[in-house]
Amino acid sequence: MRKQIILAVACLLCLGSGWAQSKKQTNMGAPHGETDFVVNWKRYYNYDEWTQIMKDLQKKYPNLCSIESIGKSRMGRDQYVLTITAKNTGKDTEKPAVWVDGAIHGNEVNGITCSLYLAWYLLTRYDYDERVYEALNRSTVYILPGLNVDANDSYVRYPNTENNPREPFRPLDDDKDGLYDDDMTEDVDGDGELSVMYAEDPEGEYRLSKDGMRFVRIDKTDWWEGTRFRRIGNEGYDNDGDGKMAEDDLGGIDPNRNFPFDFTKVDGKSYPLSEPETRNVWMFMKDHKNILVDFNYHNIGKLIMYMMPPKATKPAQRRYNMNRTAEKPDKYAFKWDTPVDPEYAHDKAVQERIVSDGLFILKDYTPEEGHAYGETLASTYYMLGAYSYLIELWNSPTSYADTNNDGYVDDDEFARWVELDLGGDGWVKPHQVEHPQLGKIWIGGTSKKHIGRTPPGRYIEDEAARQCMFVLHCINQLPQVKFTTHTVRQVAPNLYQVEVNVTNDKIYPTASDRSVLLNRYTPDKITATLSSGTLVEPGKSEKPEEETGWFRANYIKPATAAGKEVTFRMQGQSTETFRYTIATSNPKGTTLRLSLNSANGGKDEVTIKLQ
Amino acid sequence: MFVCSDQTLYFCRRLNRIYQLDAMCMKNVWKRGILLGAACLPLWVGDMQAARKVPISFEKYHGYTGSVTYLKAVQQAYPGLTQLKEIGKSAQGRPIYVLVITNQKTGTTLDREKKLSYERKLEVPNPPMTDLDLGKSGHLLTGATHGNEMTGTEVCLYFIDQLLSAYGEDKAITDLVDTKVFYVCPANNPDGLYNTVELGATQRSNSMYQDTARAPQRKDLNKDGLFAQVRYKDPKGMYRVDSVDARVMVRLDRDSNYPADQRYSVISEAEPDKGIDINRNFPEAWWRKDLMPGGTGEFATSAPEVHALCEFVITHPNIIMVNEYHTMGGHVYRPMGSAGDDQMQPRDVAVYDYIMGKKYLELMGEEMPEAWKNPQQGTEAGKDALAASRNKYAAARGYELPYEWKVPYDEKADKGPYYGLFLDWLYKQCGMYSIVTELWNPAHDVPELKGLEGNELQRAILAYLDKQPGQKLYLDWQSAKHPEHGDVEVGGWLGNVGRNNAYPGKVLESICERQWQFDLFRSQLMPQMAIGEVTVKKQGSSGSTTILEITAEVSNEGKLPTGLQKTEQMAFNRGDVVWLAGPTDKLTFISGSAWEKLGNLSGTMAIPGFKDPKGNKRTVRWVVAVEGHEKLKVVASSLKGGTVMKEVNY
Repeated sequence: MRKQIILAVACLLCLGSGWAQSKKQTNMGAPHGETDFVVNWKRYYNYDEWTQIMKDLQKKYPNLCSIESIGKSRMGRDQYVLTITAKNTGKDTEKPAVWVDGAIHGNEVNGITCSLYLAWYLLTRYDYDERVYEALNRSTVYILPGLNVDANDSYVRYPNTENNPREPFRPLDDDKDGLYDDDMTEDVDGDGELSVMYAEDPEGEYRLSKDGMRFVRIDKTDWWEGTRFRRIGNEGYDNDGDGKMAEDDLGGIDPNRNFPFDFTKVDGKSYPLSEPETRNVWMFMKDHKNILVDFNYHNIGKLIMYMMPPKATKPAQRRYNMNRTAEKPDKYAFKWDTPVDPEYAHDKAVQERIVSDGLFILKDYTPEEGHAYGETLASTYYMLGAYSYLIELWNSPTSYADTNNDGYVDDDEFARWVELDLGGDGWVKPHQVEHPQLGKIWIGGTSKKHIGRTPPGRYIEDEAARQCMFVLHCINQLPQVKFTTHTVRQVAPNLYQVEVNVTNDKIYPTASDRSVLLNRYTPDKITATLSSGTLVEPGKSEKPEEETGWFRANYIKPATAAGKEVTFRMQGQSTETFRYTIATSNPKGTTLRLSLNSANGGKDEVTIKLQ
Repeated sequence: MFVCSDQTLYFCRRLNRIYQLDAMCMKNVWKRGILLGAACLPLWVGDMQAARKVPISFEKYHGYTGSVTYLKAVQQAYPGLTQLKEIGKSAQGRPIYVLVITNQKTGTTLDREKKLSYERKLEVPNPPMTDLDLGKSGHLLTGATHGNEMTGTEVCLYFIDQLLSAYGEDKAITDLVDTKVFYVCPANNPDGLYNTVELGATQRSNSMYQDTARAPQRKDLNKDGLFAQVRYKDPKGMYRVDSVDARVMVRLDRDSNYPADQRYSVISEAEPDKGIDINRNFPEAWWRKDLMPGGTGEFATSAPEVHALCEFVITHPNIIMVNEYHTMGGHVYRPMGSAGDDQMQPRDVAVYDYIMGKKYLELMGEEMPEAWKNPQQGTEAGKDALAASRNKYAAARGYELPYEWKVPYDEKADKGPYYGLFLDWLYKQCGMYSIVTELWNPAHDVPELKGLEGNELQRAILAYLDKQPGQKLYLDWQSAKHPEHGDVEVGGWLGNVGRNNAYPGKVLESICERQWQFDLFRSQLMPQMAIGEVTVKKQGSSGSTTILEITAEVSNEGKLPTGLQKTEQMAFNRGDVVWLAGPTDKLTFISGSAWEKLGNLSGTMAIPGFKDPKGNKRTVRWVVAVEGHEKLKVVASSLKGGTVMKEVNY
């Protein structure tokens, strides 16, 4: 009993004393909390399973994590979001935040793994890993593992091609025959995979390959005496009797063309946020003004797609970058070769820097400019002012199987990859089937579901771990505004000037250029209190023209004259100087107390004695 | 001079139907109608209302509550012809209702006729059966998008009343209700309408930004039990008191140098809720060219009312006609508001102007542009005259649009002041003949006020209202205390009437009648798929299998084509199709396939300047082998022209 009390007191002390990290682990070779909550990351999870992991995580780490449903999908499934932050250091909405969603396209379920892995990584390592500890203490991460829950679940649970189902289940007449979703792909042979159907036909253009694994096209000049095959189409039945198979599959409105910025009817097919899945997400995001960074996971292609400000409308101004020219050559350094208007220069610089870091972390990824027309990342940047990234995961199996480095995996290379890397598993071997409508046919000659767009289970963890480090880097670069140095100078009898430096050494600013233009931000503010004497108000004067851009941190900028209250927007990796003029006859007893309040960059305070 | 009272108009309409709305006959019949109508009968109309299953009166505005009560009563009284659908809820949780009017025993849809051979077995099922009304060409009527424009709600209710009470008696209308579907939404903006009519707090917007914790200022300042207007001295005010009739408030020009100490501000006695103009919240041209928001709300469709309407329209692609009722001005806006006619298709412009515009001007009794009288010649002749004009769109068309039939877009300045309009979204993205009818122009619609303008009109309106017994729409100004503005005067227009709505009673009814005539005309333009003769030739048989050659004539018997020219160009447009439907596994196609594409069929009416060499008919031929004696059907299905079926006899 006594022991228990001591333990409880010790715990309380521990919590009270600045919340020191309880199990800090500095040995890189030792476990960092992954054994506290074990998850098998070498498989895919269906809706019930992955939401169960979320709920269990929340139960295990209630002080770091909350779970809520942001709404229901078309078929009535809850879209659960994890809010991850150290609750004892402040509310989630009062800290800068990163939003991460996975699998807006139903079939792109490796995004679920990546976002769920991130949640698990942050939560399990909080007590062990200093970087994670700091990150969760001063920022928030919102994670929605599966956005398109109905299609995600269907993709994981049922036989599907690697491309389907992609959209939420709003019925749509894809083939324009007047019937809705009338001819879907179906598993005719019951082997759990959807492949391609062929029929034996003396006029056919295909033959079986020598190893019997594939159907290969017969060249017209070739002489072939063996069995010939005709390609029928995707595995399925001809439900509407028009001779085509699986031509009007489930769903139809691409959720990643459904967001309100630059929505077009041609791509979007309906109206902005017509799908409950996307509307729920948007309502959540727009109401959380602390979201500064947005990650959307997709596949495939190993791309970092970044959203950039609009191209310059005014003639480009002369810019020079002393900092950059002095840099060592860096193969990951990324520069966007499009001029932007000065009011967007900082956003461009921030994105260039983050993408460069991302390319370093993810190694074999390629940068690509994000699109507009209703994509999530365009809306989050242009309407919410968040820096947004779309990650195209996985590129099966180019990097592994391309033996002659021509950037293309031919059939032989692919077969070799399946044989040697996957131990022969991953291929639907052509086999004979009795089709109720077509009689004796052949099915097969394609890869299995989890090969092309979603990696085989064994590869997911590897990719998830790397992605996790990129997001963690972004979390770590959320703004942090601090007072650094100050000087006091007597300029005249009884007149003193105090110059204070305020610094944000992180890459992200407290608000993006876009949110400043949208007026969708809370300005950073310094409030001054003087113990005695008078603070001379600067009055309304024209602000000196600001140099914008990345390099401005390297220049000595003129100080801004400040009074009782000054508001500004802190850029990334920059220092601002504020000059206070104080008239007092008693410098010894006078102190200037400054308190800094930045909605996204935190709070700080400094007390300056005049003498 | 005779006045077109409601009685006479009603009588004229009866005669009209007999003559099938023949435009030439119309004029004579109209005159005779007036003579006869004036001669007989206040008596007869009383009878007619009593004979209604659901009586309706236009002596006062129905508002939201009244219109919902009416819709529910109608739904009860006509269960086979009407359905009441809740399409969503307003910001304050009031249901938005659409009354679906069509004979529920007629018509069909493709999925009723063509059975799929395999239902999906896994958890995700095939989509449910589509509603029957989707197989009919649709006409959508909406009112009170702006809450204080409640005349539109009345016009909607009048339309319902006329359509349903004539069903079974009038052949033309019975046909319409059997073969077409009407969607009537009397209140797009329930909160605005409720606050205006029921509470007297004139409100154009919806209530989406109303802070629920803070109740709006709704105190009856002079304790007369009514909410009207408040006027108070304000050096920055934009009004002055009229020098002749001190009740009239005259709006000053922006650059007027009227003395500051005699200026007034005029506000509503009861404060409305905070919200947005929902007719700037639709997803067409919501963004400005500089990538900043141009429309209202946080994003297009952010208003719950707009979301509901968009979802309804997208799930009802069978709609081809839309009339959105607003006030005031006595004119129609056809698309577009965000761009000039160069963003429209010429055939659509021709249908709008030469066909619909012409009819509207006829009903208004106004002169139409020379070019419309003989479109072929007029267009060419007009071009020279207009070439020098500053309006490049008019020059291209060959005529200036008249006051009664125009576009919201500023053609002269070539500037689009409107973002996020319902009108534009419907036309440009949904392929519908949408129009906005700005109902009510006192100087046109009230004989005593004919031709008056400006202050004279305002004075005459008050003089006219003074003479109307039992109607008090305009109050004398009384001094009162306002919590914010101190000493004020309360009076002027009643909050639940306002100067921009037709006066309840006969004036309102005459406007409803004219609109009904116009909407009826537009309904009769709608496309209509039809299957003509189906011939079957037996080409042979072996055992239980028969080889048949089937030829079917498919046509559009409606007046307009089955799609707008705008939609024909869109990638996602579904053209008309014709199916030979039968059990998939018993039917083998030797020639032709289960469904054939027809494209969009033309209508029977000539559109000036556009002649379709293919005409409105197509012949489709199949050769099939049928196992056993299975039932075969020819089904012609058009997205906007309806779905029809004919069995194949062999």
